[in-house]
Amino acid sequence: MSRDDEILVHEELLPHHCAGNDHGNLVGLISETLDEMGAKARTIGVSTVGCSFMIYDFIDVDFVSAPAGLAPAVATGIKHTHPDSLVFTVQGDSDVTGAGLGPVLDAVMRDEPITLIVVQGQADGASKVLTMARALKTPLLMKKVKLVADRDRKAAKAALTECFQHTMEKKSLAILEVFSPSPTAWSLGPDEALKFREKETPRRARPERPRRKKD
Amino acid sequence: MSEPSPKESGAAVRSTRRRNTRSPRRPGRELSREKALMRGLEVIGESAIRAGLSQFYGTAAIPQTELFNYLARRLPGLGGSVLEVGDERLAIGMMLGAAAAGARVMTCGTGPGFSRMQEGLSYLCASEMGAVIVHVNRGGPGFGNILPAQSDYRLVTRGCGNGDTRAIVLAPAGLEEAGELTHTAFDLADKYRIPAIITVDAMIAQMMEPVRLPSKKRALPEKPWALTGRGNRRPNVLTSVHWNSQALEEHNYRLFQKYKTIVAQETRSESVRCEDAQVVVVAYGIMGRVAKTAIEKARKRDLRIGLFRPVTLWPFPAQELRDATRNAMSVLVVELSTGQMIDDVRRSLGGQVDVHFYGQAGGEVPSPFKVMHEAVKLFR
Repeated sequence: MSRDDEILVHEELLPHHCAGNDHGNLVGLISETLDEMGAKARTIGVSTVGCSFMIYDFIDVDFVSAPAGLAPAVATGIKHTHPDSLVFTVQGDSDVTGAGLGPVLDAVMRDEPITLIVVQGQADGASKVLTMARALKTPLLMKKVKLVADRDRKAAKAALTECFQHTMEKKSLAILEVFSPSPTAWSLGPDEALKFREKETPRRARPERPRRKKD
Repeated sequence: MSEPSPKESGAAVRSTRRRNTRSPRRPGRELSREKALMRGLEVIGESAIRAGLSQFYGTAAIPQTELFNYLARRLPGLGGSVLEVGDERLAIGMMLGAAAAGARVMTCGTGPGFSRMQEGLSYLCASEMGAVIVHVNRGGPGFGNILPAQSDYRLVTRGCGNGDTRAIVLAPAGLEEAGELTHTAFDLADKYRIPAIITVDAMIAQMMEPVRLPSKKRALPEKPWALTGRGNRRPNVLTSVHWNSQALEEHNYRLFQKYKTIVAQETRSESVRCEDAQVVVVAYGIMGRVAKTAIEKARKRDLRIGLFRPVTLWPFPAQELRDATRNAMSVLVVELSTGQMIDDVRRSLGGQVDVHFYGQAGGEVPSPFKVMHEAVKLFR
């Protein structure tokens, strides 16, 4: 059995993502995208605190855990050591707006060729931070996606592939903002959380709706 | 990287015939033939390059600015990278990434900046990554001042972030020793996969003297655990998360066993004329050097005073201290603080000898005569 065909089996897989939260979908999306790009052998991921801390249990690439907010800094250190590798981070919105505000802006200003994936699960605080990052007018690739319907997933995969390609070619830093419901934090069921997310997200902060293809 | 000559590094060069035998040197360390006139932090920077340093992340904060400046001049030309960051927390984050990726990496911190590194140090310990941190003491709490001090003894020997964590702490008393200990720090950090801290005061950091630098390392250790992109192997994961209580306990005890091995094997110290000493002065760093001159003055006056100088502050050379003070009636601990190492001295001696303290904590360095005077008081 080749390495790519090998199925990752964990006998004791203790923690996993909450029902209705898109972290699980995102992990699958990242893994699929890396497989399709054939890039897993040269990929190094950075997990951090919050829901992304266990991501290394689900994607079979090299991983390191970063302290709160420091994922972009850790990714910078890795990228400087292995400039030809694909380095990405997965952070939650609190990790970006709180302890991570400085490190994110620092990475943006340095224009390190790394991919920052930010899961946006609460209000639009992280969006404002990322908008601020864009205002720094560095050559930044920034995409907003959500993972609700199939067409959203297709658009998200295309955006993620573009981000990964962009940083592998060392063009500039790339940020993928993933809008996700957060049912546990909101004390709502998965369906209600999804509706709440749609209703409460300001229109300007929403990802663009992917257009239907005409037959 | 080509081995730089001291001339290339901008240092004045002097030839010397006399072999310097002052520092306690372990076999196997080679020094270059030429002497260079350099600052303390420049010696550490150049020695780090010769030890295989490839990346440096740090701030240009006084009194550590010269280290950043020196490496910024030298390292990029040799294929390494130097990044100036605005915050020590960022610096240790970048260092954590580079250490995880298998590089020989260094940062520096002083005063409050070093306090901000504690979280990252804890992650380095927990995820078992080797890296070197140059720590320059500042005087006092808060901002304090930038004058010579040894005010962070407890912080560097006890504090390494949250959890049961430890870092190897090396305290040079001169510049040639600073160069050698820089090599030692990188070697120990890689051998035990643990942070190694070189702690100096502003006087060691800033003063200039002729030194012979360590020779360039020819081979660096393999790091099969490092993150390089998995290639055809199984993925490497460096994490401090252990969800299962049993797994965490096993991890913690494995770290604890490692710390015990370091305590048993890696203590370093220097004893000067302790065999017949009635009073033994215990001091490290710049005060070790001042005390050495003090006992030379005392011996000329037929006063039996010896010096015990810990080179590793953690692990503390407790057994060596007990051996050195076997015939002494009193011990005088001299520090540039209100008394921090004295706790380790008392604990090591367990009441077998009277322990006294003399210190200054505002940035002034006591003269050798003053130290001798304080030691002489104990004869009465």
